[in-house]
Amino acid sequence: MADIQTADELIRELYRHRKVINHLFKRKTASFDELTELADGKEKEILQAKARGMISLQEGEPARLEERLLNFVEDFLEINEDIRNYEVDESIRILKKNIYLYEIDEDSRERERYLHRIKRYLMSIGRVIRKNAGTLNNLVKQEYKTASSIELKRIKIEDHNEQAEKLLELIKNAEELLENAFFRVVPDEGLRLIVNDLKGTHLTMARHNLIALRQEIVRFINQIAELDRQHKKIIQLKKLRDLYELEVRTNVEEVFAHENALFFDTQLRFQTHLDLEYLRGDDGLDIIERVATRRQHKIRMQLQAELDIDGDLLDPQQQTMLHVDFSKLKRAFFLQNEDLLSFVKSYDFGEKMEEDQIIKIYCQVALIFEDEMDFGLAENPFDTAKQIEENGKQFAFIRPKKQEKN
Amino acid sequence: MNIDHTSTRRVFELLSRGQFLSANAIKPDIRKLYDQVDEYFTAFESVYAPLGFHLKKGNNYYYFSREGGRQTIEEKIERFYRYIDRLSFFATFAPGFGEGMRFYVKDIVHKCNVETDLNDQLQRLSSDKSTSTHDKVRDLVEEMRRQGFMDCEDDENEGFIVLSSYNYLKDIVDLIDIDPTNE
Repeated sequence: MADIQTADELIRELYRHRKVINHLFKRKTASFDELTELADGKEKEILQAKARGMISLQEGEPARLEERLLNFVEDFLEINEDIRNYEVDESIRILKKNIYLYEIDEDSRERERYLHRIKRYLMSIGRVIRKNAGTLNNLVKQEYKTASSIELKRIKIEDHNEQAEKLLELIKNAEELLENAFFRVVPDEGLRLIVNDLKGTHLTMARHNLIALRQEIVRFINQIAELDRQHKKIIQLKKLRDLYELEVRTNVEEVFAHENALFFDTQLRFQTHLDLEYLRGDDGLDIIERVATRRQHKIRMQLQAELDIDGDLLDPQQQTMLHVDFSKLKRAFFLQNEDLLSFVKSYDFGEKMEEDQIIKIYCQVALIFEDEMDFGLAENPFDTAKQIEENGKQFAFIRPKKQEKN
Repeated sequence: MNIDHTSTRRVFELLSRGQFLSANAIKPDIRKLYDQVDEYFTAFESVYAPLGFHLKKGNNYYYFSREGGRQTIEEKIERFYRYIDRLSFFATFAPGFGEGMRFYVKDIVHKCNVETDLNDQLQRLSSDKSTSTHDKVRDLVEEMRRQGFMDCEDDENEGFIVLSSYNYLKDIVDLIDIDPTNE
């Protein structure tokens, strides 16, 4: 099938495949089947789009928009993220050439053509420079915030710095070009307007933006250097600390001689005395009763633990050092639904446990974490506390205290 | 002096525990406290000074300092050692780790699983050998949260943010001069 030859054909083909083009522009890639669906099942349409250079369809690859078409749409919508400074470079070169041709060619029709091209490229320069400056601005801010490492930040920002420099240079070149006598001599009103626009608005604004951007880049680069320096220092201090050389190789003692932040003061709990008036009131009485009942339980449990532990355990040959991680035990207890005694009995300590060891651990957990435990105490003096009976002995029915939602 | 005493009390409760007021605190009421202290610094300062508490200003944070604390220099340095370890761990996870950074516990876990240095540091930070990497990281982050250096933004996904108070640790690092002799 023939390539597209005229603008008219191009517009028709674009319109014909507009659904597919739009889909691929938004999604970047798609499968052949997806596209066929868009074309109401007509596979031939998709193949036609490929043949006309709209889309690329390669074996084993998803379908994409053809490079030229993609560039055109991005360009037109001004969303291309690439800073294409070389375009400006090239445009300036073409401008110079056309000015020269205009000067030496005497044919008025040719001169008309050159003039036309000159205007076109002047406008293009203005547009591209302005767009590039804006894109650079956005990119710098965005990449500084999102780059995932100090190194990446530095690389990207330095790259943009170079681009900004280059762009400023191009602006200077363009302005120099506009000083060419050609622009004063040619009696074309349209040309004059374009030149004034370019000089007065586009180039000036772009230059201001770029200078501000360069300053911001310098700030960012300094910040990055600072982050890097801090990072290296932390690693160094860590190394010194691991080698126990921190006090010797640094002034850390002097620093902490003067550092009095409460943060380093670990004795910080303020204990205030009980308000006697409060204790004499009803609320106070309740609390006293509860604490008293609990103390009775505690003492009972302690006695039991002491009474039941056999002298055998003191025999050094039989005695095994059982290391119990009480925090871990408590965490596991909180995660299940049994009461404390049942839980401890069924817990796997890694070795066979005697009954008295179980009871001892039950008591210890209850005491160590007594603030977090609910001892099943009676709500009022007429109820009895919750208890379990085992081998004729009574044990408190202990569950984790219910957390209050704040 | 137009600060009300609820604020002075609340600020005292927080700072007297050795904690910090961070500019980027998540809870709005803490943010408000920070803003108040920021605006009426001298007023707040003069309330606490007679009690022996000096209100100090840092880079986006406030804290108390007090003369005659019972800690010896050695004890303070010991305590700081632990924080060097933690600073180093988080800095290894993400160079430039600091105020305002957001992260998920699972991202740290993932990095520990692929970077031996990071994992080594984690193992040495945790005393309990039997817990999983995820638990170790979570415990570590929780500890930083309890100390007031981080806060939880996303409970479900374990997403955290580093508070401005983290700058305090970095500021101390800045104060320390390393002897430039090269060995």
